[in-house]
Amino acid sequence: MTSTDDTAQHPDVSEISDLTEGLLPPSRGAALRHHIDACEECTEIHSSLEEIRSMLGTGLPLHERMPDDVADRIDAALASEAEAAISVPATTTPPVSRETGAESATAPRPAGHPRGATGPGRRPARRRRTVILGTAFGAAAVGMSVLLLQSLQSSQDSAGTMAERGVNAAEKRQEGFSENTLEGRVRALLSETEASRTPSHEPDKPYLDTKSSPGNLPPGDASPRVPLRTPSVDVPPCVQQGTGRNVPALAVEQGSYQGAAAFLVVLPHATDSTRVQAYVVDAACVTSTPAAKGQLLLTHSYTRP
Amino acid sequence: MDDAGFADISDQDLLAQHVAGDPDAFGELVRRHRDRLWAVALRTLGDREEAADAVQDALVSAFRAAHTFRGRSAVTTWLHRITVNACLDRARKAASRKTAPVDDAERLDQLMEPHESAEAPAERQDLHRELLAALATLPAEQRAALVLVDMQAYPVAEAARILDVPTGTVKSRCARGRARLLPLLTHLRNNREDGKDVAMERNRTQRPSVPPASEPRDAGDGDPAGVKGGGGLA
Repeated sequence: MTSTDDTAQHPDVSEISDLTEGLLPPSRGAALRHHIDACEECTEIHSSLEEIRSMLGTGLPLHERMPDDVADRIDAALASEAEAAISVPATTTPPVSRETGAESATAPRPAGHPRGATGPGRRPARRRRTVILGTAFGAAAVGMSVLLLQSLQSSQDSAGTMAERGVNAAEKRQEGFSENTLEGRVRALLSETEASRTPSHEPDKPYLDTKSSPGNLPPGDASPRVPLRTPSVDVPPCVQQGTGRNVPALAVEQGSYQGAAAFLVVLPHATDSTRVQAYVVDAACVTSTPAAKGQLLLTHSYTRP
Repeated sequence: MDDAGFADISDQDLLAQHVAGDPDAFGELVRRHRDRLWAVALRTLGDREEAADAVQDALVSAFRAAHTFRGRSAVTTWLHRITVNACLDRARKAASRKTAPVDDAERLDQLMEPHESAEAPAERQDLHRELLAALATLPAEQRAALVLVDMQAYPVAEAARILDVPTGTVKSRCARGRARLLPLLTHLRNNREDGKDVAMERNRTQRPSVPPASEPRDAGDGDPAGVKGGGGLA
């Protein structure tokens, strides 16, 4: 100890540091401040600690960029992660969680069996259903779309009745969207709108194993013959917001998802022109006030028909 | 196109869209936050490769665990928490491996931005480099707290949420961490300005007062680093 005066009573550096963070009990803190005010050395310590704090905070840029090679590497890791997630067999129901929206989630997730199609022969059944959808339900969907267009052109106030109508229609027809049936419905919707424009299109292109992987797959045998420039359809603004995208919809349909009214909206894929992205958005937002964005319930991408 | 489409979507909605199966939502989330996560990881770990591994591990596990996000904290807090935990895991492993002490100039240079070298005066740069070296000798928890609060200027409350500890704990870790850095700072300054002996004497006597280092080499590491810095300056 080289200091001669009241060295023994000098507080620890750590205690002075605690003082600067207000961590000491009031009485001890007051005593320490009293000492520091009178003690040059402790004042020095005190200011040095402040200097350290400010030195740590200066000189290094607050906003720097992740180096490109690191960013690329992480993107690649996430892409392979996404692929692994998607390679789940299509006949099982992937555990899509809705926990982030737990506040509004009402029904537990159903088992996910495609409506009306059970047993092992699911694929052929679905194809058959696609045809049915393409005709009967497709026609109904067009009817609905017309309804939507009309409703949407009127004021916001009529949105409520429109949604009610949609709910009623959904109840009557039991049009449940589910993960397993979504692809067929998307195809039905698209081929219906498409058929009205390009009747020569054959709807029997094989659809198996066409689930998207987020890495842009090469178009493969995707035919350029159908550019699918369908006229855009109107989607309720809050539902459109729920998709997170602003592009015009290729198709829209009302139905239900897990027992609640929902919209199926089909948009062009964000990056791959050979695909479409289907969104199932909770319809509750249409009637809710204040206006809130529709909750996204499910989304998948598919190759364009 | 997707960038434009996502522009006005909140982080939480993006995460929900990712959970719902949107293949592009998580990528957008990463683009929004990766720079900040990178800065925190790089400074906490003091090593570029380790930091890159930590951020990658963190984002992959966030990708997988997105459905567990409950919205009790902000998405950015959640991402930071996962990243900091990944960093702390790595720091602890590195400590148990007894890796070389962090006086490797090359590694430290990685922490200094290129433009910094041009702008900052040489003295300050050296001092800064030594400070970073000393930071790397702190216990990982103290380091993480100092990185978040002092270096990256996160509010203490936010740092507490990220570290999942009470704010008092964050303050305490910061205070203890700074106290541990103090001997090094004064040592450097004394090497530079031989004249100011008051501080020097005081700090010599004060050194033992620094809370006893759990790892003895912590206190020792300041010395070789300090000598090196002083030599460079002289």
